[in-house]
Amino acid sequence: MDNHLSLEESRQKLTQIENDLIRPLKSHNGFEMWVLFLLLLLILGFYAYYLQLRDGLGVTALRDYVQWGMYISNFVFFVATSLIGMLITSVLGLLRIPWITPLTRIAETIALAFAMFAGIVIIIDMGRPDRFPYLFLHGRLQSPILWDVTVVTTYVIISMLLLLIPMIPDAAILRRRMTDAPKWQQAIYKFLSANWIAVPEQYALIKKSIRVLAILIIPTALAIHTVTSWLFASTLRVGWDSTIFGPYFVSGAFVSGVAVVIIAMYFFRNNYKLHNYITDAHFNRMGQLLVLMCFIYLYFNLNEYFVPAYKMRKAEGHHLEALFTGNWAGIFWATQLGGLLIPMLLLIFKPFRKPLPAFIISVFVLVGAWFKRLLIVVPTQQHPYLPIQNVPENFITYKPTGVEIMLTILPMVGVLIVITIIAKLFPIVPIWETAHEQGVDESVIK
Amino acid sequence: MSRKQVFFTFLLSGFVVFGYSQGAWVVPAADKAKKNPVASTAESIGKGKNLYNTHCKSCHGDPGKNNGLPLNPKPTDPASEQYQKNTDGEIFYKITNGRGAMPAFKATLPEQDRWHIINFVRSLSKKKVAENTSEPANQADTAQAPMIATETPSAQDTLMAEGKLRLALGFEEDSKTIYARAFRVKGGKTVPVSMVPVEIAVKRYFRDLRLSEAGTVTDENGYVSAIFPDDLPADTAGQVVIIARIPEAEQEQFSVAQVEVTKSWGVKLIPQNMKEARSLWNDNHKLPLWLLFSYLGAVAGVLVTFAYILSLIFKIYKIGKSSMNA
Repeated sequence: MDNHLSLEESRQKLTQIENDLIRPLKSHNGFEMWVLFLLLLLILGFYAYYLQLRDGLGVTALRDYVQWGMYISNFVFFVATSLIGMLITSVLGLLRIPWITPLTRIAETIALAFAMFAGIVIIIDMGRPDRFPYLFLHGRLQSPILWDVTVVTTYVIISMLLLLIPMIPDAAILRRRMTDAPKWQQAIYKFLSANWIAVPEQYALIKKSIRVLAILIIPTALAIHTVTSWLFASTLRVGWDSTIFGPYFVSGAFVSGVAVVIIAMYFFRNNYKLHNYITDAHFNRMGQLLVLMCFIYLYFNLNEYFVPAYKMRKAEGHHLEALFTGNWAGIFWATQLGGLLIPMLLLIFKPFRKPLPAFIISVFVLVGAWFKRLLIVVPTQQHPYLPIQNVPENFITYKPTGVEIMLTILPMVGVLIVITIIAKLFPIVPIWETAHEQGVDESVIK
Repeated sequence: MSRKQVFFTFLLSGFVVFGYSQGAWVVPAADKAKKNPVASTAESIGKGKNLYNTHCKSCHGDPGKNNGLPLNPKPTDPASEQYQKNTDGEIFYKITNGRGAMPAFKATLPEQDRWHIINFVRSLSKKKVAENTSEPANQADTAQAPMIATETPSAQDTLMAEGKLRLALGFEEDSKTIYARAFRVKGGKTVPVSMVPVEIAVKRYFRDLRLSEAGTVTDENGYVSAIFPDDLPADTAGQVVIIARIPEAEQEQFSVAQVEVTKSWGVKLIPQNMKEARSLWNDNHKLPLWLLFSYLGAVAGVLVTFAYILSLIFKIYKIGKSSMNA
């Protein structure tokens, strides 16, 4: 850093940063209400799961034709959103983009929480979760499902390491500052600080670990979502039988990931009073990033829908007509326009990249991203190659039940709980990296 | 092989041919003589009708309407005379074991049900055919008799003074040569007929594969010949059906205008068990090696990286510890 500070100045600056970033960990303003709200949803979710365990998947709207409904859409959404960790920490980090420093921990927390719960969503989708071990006992390595389990697990571990390793200096600072915290909390800080004494050798080791993991996470993240797309694309079904499903999914993942980071940024900035750390410039940059990601995703959408629509092969035609003008048209156009095209066009203009407008637009993008997964997963199953004949009405239509909706919300609650815990135990903006960026001498950060 | 020998083969093949044209599905004598143990009651016939509609109708069609599927051979209409010629034992054997496109029902239908079907099928026949009607053409042991003697001239034949033309097949095994001969019978003797267009072909599912050149006609001895190719795929026993025929326009003059003989000259079909080799569609333990090693390689690479990262973190820990001690 060119604005290098003297040791004395460094200590003052560091203390100031510490005060700003640690304060939210100590204040409990409205925290209890938030936890109560989450617990209430959690209890409702568990009750819904109890009903599903007791009565089987019949409590959902899943039937012979639509076998993958909201749950699998939710799974795809979770996997997608978790990819943001790779984009921010790895791609932008390796490119040494300077403005990402205060956002890396938010991105990694989101990545870890969503990736963890992606696996749990799959178990929720199982009518007989006791058979989950069969996947490992009898699984076929030729099936994308087994690869998916492997890469999701790998991604969770890498995300956890990418969250915890940059936490080492911060944990040392917390150990020093949080002396009035409960014993167990201090024990966590002690364990995570790994005897940090801020010598250059330790800095070198941390940077090396992060660099290695940042490289490893790129193929893993691409694999996790490409394999998820292959769960669909390796079939012959209309709407899924597509060669561009891998990049289509990955580009869509970045859209929802950037949106969720902007939402989290807005939330932490206001509730944790971090206006000096997460600035308008950060929203501006993230808004630009979202425009880029939306544009790439739009390009894949054009390919995915308009090339088959130009040909209108008979079976594909039924599917596309249902999306364009049929019973899915409302959700389809609302998602494509309200969740992708209009947000992208608005964000091109600078005033819309201010914190509040960017936050509102990101909410639209995120909701659109969830419904987009539903549009990818469900309508295809209503248009099999063999005509549907002589089946009950509820086999053809798909109207999610209350239990199903509750169990879709449950893992989202889980994600919020994980993010809440992490954001309550650790500063959501990394102290040492921020201090380092502001010219604080490395040797005092301990 | 001399001409004489060739001709002797002709004599023999004539009977095989005759048998084949009647549907050469030979049922062992013991099975053929089997009697229906289920009494032909209205109840049994009713059950048989239901079973027929479920299991047979899709190919054999509505009895009496001759609207079975256009397969080759065409599934016989059970109400037809040709079908009713079968003994109960024969029908039972055919239902039980199947052949070609006709599935074997021994695992699908209990014996009782098969007899119900036979009772139903019999109820379709207006004039019931007595059981055990023997069909001379199906009895291979009469084959020793000379062909001319068994091929009794039909009523039409006798109308024409010289007798009608006939076609027969002969083979030279060593060179896999096929001879077709056109002749007529005159006073107990065979007289070759030349300049008759004859086609030698091998039977296939759809169009037959012609072996003789287009427009070939018989020579002065009544012969047309063709060489059987070495690389012709056949069934699992290497069997192919060789056909000699007269073009449709000229068939009227012939009493036997088409002959078919089964020979084991083709390349045997060795069915491949798709689940034997390692492949993507096989069980887990027979997965392709490249897939196994890619997977294990990737997982090992990740694990090694993790171990390396942990070693780096441990170093951070050790540096701190040693300096604290110091």
